[in-house]
Amino acid sequence: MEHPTERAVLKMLVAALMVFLGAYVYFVSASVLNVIARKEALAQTATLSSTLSLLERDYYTAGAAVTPSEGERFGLAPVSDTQYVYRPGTIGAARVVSNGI
Amino acid sequence: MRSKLILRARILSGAFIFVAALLMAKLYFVQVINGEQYQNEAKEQYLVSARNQVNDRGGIFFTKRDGSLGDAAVMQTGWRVTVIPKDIGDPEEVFSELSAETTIDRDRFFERVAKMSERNEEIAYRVSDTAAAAIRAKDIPGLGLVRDKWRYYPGGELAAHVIGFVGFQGDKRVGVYGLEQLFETTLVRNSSGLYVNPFAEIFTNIGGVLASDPKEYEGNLITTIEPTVETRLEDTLDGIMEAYRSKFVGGIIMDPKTGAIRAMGIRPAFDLNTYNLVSDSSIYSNSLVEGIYEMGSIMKPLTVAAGIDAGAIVPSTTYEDRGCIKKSGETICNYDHKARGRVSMQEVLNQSLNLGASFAVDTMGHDVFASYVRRFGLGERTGVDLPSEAIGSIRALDGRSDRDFASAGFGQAISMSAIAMTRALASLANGGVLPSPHVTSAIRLESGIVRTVAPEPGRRVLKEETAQTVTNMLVKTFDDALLGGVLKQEHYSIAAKTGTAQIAIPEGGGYYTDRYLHSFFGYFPAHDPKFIVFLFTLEPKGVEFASASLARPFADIAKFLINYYEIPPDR
Repeated sequence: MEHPTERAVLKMLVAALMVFLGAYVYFVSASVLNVIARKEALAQTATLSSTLSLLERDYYTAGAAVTPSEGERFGLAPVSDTQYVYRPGTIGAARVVSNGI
Repeated sequence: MRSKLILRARILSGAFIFVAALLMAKLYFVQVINGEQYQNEAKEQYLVSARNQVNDRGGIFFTKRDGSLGDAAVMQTGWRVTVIPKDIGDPEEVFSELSAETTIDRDRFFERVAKMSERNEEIAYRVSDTAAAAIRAKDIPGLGLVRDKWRYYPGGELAAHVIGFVGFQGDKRVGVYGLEQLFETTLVRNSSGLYVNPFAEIFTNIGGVLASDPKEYEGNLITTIEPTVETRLEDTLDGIMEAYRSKFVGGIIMDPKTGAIRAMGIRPAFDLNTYNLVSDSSIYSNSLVEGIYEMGSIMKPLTVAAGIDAGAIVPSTTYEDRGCIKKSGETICNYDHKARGRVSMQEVLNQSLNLGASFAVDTMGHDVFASYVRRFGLGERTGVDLPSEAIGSIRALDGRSDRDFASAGFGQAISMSAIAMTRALASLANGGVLPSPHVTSAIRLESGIVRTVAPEPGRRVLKEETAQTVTNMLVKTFDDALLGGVLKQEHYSIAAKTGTAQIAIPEGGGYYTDRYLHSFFGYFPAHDPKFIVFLFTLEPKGVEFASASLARPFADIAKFLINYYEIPPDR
């Protein structure tokens, strides 16, 4: 003997099941994609970070090799007599109309 | 009957659905969450032992002059090469093929291959991706490649004592020195990072943003160390070490206003990537923070500052200098035992007169002097964010010995760490306020948000005008007295002072007569200082005074910093 509302309830349950199943599949897929993307991103980050650290190593080594005597090799010479300019105030203090100070 | 059948069918369907859901969940964990691990097991039939397994770890960064970051400590990825000895053909041929692509330890290779076992044996570590690809292409039977990860320090020796390294504590890999040790909680990573509960991640990120102490959250350290300045400091220390064959040399470059340490170096040093090759482990200690020393005459500016601040003396105050005096039954002399007659406090700094410092202490009173020494923080930790900071020893000031007070006035009988002395001297450059020395400026959380680490605000220890007066005195000392004034910079005012201290015999009974500690400090531009530089060297050979050993290295560093940071002239 079937209850009068059983068919309706069954339909609702089936619909709910479908919705939940769909949601489950969606969230699992999203999670899978997220994990895959994260894995990919982490792998790429690790590779980039490794490459970058080796470049940094080279940079530090090259930077340490730059000395005043290295400068002479490039034809640079120390400035013997530095001249400094003293300019008081700001542009507002300029007596000229234009900003060509 | 029919309804019973329907019920049974439903129960059965429910059971099927439940089991299917369970299987799907299991499949998800097997294929997605742990997929990589199973893949490794299946492909290589080899897993790295727990002891050799290195987890990810947060990075440590230098801050360059323009604010960009440079790697100080990172995780490096590569490969391990393994062989199954039984499957290897001609070992000699395999060895030469591998050697063409990467460095292989010959002894290790043949020792492992000789085992003739069916188990994987590791023959090379830290192999680069390029070399691994080349090896893989050769398709050598019995050869395998597994992922390898290790902590890498691109700077090698650069700021080694500040950064520290990751080593073993029992079977666990942890930071054991420097920032690696102090910020273990921040740097350590316990998860693989592949699967993260999104809700947990959101709450962790919010927690990290709102937390009063971001150090408790996973992140990366951003330091105040500037790599070019650090390199220059360490080059200078190398020069001092080579010239005077010292026991060790150390230096600190700090912003005296904020306490941000731009460089901190010690020689002898070690390469962080090969720390295990060092025979003497005492080399790992950061003596600038962990050691205490009698600093000598660089204490005199603090003594004079205390006297001026207390109203006991002024720069023009004079005293009768007799070369040597008796204190508590013992003789105390100037460094050359010579009398100067009537001289001013300015001359006390210019000529570094011990008796002048003793006079200043007596004039202000012992208790007042002791209270200033405590205020300068010479008997306490500075709170610098480096491990194992030593506390200064100023016990001599608890007694009533006139000799101890006189000695303390010129930097003997009391000892302190280099960082504590630098902080105290920085108060002269910072208008009388003690800065808070620090190496870490910020923590970049895993979410990418950067949390600034604010140092404790410093306390005032001198009146602003006292700091100004002593700065003027120190500028005169540098311009006119130090090495006859040859280091004077026409357009830059530099405040500086040397120190040469006798070294106490550890067993007691006085001081060595042939061993000295040389120290030097200076800040510039003197009236709006950007940097304070502190140098010291223990037991230099063939040189008696710090003016001869450290003044020129200091001047070189000062010129470099002025040029590098384009500091405008101040006179």
